[in-house]
Amino acid sequence: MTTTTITNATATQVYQVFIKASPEAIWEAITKPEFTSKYFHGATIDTDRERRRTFMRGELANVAEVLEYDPPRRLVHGWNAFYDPELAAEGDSRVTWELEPQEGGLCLLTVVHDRLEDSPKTAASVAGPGWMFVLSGLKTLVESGDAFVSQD
Amino acid sequence: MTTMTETATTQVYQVYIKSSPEAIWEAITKPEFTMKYFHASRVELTLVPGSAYEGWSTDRSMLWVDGTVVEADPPRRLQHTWRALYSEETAEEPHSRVTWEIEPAGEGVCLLRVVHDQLENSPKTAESVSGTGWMHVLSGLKTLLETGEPLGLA
Repeated sequence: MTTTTITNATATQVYQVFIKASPEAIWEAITKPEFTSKYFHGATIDTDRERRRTFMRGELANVAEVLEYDPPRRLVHGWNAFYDPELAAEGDSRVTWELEPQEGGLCLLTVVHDRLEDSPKTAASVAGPGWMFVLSGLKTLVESGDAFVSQD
Repeated sequence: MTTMTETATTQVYQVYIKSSPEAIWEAITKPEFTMKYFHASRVELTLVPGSAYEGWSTDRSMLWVDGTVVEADPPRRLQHTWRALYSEETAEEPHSRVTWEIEPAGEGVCLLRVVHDQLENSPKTAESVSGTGWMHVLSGLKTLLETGEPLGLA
């Protein structure tokens, strides 16, 4: 009997979460550093039409190219696991954020992390709980105004 | 979006919830909570292996989901079989299996993992719970526990 399993550590990973907030509010939380520091492992991330700059403890740690910027609907940017030299050496992948309004003032946020064919270690490190830790923290922040956990 | 051409027969979902394992366990196993995030269904079960796991309509007139409890270890792990009776197509398929695992993750946060497997002979069920299916339920559960209010998904 053949079994297909989503192990999550695949070259294309899809994560979805429903959030009680407007697409505009979620877009802000994704692209503005004062918000990202509260759910993205303490990283201050500033995203504009061209670049996504990640600062760790005040220092610029990574710059990624923004491939598509369509607020408040769709954001696509490059991704490199710069925080770990072994993973960083695998090269770049891609992250897409899609925000779809739903009835009742809700929003469906879909994150696709793909182009991970040549980055198995990166794929494994972001899979499953990896991305869901970030998206869970984002949801809590936007819905409650609180950071999820301390981001040290 | 996804490149999967075949719906997975083992599906794994995770969500981190700022709540205690006990509160999450209550929300999964008591109808007054499930009504607020589980498609308005009243979930009823006892913790005795072999006993029924049932999901009733809000007015308790229709049985939407039936199954059997396999393992109940509060507030850590609940495993039960699952058959969706609310659709003729899925009602004809054999039972699949759902496992809920609650793991403390520090600072008053828990990782809730849901594994829906044994779907090899239940392709319509697999399809209907995949994608936003389980995340609809888990998003609602998280919002309810963290804010005290339902998410408001239909």
